[in-house]
Amino acid sequence: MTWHSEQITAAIDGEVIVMGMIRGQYVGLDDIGSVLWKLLEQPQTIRQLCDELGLRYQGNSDTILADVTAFLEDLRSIDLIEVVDAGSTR
Amino acid sequence: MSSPPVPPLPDQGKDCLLYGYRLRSVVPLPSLPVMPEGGVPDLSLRRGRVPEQLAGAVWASPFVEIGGDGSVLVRIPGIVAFLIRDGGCLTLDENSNAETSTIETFLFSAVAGAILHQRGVLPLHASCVMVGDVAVAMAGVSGRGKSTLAGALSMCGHDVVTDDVCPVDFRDGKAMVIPGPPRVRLWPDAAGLLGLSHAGLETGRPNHPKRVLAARGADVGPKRLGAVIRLDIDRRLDTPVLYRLTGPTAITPIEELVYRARLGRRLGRRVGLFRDLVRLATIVPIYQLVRPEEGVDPSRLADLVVSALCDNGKEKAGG
Repeated sequence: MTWHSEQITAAIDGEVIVMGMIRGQYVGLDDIGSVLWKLLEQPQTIRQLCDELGLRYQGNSDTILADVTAFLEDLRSIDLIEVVDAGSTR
Repeated sequence: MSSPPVPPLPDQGKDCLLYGYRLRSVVPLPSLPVMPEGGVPDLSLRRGRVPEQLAGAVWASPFVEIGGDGSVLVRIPGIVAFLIRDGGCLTLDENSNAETSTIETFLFSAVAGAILHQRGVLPLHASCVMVGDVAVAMAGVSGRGKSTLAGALSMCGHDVVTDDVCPVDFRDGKAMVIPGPPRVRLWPDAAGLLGLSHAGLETGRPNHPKRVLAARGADVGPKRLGAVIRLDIDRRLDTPVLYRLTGPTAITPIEELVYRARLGRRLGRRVGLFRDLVRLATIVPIYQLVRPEEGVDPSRLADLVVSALCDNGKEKAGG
């Protein structure tokens, strides 16, 4: 997963807001969402994102996995991130 | 402000000032300040043929259409119609016999919104007054009480900068409000809340219940925007509350902050509006004022608006 090519990212008071440039859909992200979004500037697997969050925040790994998956599904459903080839992930 | 090509000029008419632009009009517009002769107009208003519909329209709402060339048709059937092209060439339907007050009402609202979006200027959906040496914009969708609050503040001695359409220009790292006509349009219940006689106020449009409160206006120069206050209603509340908005919540939903945001997006301002609002939120403090649905004295809300500016001033002084 990585940023969709047709989106624009900005920050207000350190929190990220993202808008799709084709349809104008947008979402504001909280602290953790903003961390994930910045990581997604480079292609990431779900496992990589979960590992990064596990290092930064305390939490059950299953809970982190569920939250990250839901986050990615939300952003993908409104075309703010896209799936890229496995070879593109670091 | 941005300067598209100067539109063709009518042969006659006085120049007046509309949202910071020199407008040369063949139609009398008595509510607007008259400008000295000799300048080059930014906008022109003439009478002419206005089509029933735009050929190849790319977007249409009940009263507004966008043509493939970015022109905008505002048509209220049987009342008035305007065609707006290139951010400044305005045509009033030659068959319209609308009264001057009706022409002004639409020119200052829907038509102005189209002009500003075509020219790439951010129009907040807000009424705006001066508090001290800065402007404060009270923003929100229709029915949230923007004009009522502006009227209440006006009656407390604050100059009205603009009502309903609030153009914001970014200059030298500051957000500047471009003043509009110094009048406030009020529903009958709002006039009653302010202690005004509905019958004693002028009508903005014949057979329309809204009335016009002619207010003392600020001078015509741009005013630094000191705060934006977003208005909302919560039936669960007993008393109004005011708090600072931070992060993305300060500018979302975008549709509640921008005048005719959908029109702007369709005119190619999707990314521009987003960037402008982010810029606004980084320069100007944005607050939320939430009130109960009924039973709030507008003067109480006016006091809260003024307090926001005072608190902001203290923060700056302390920080």
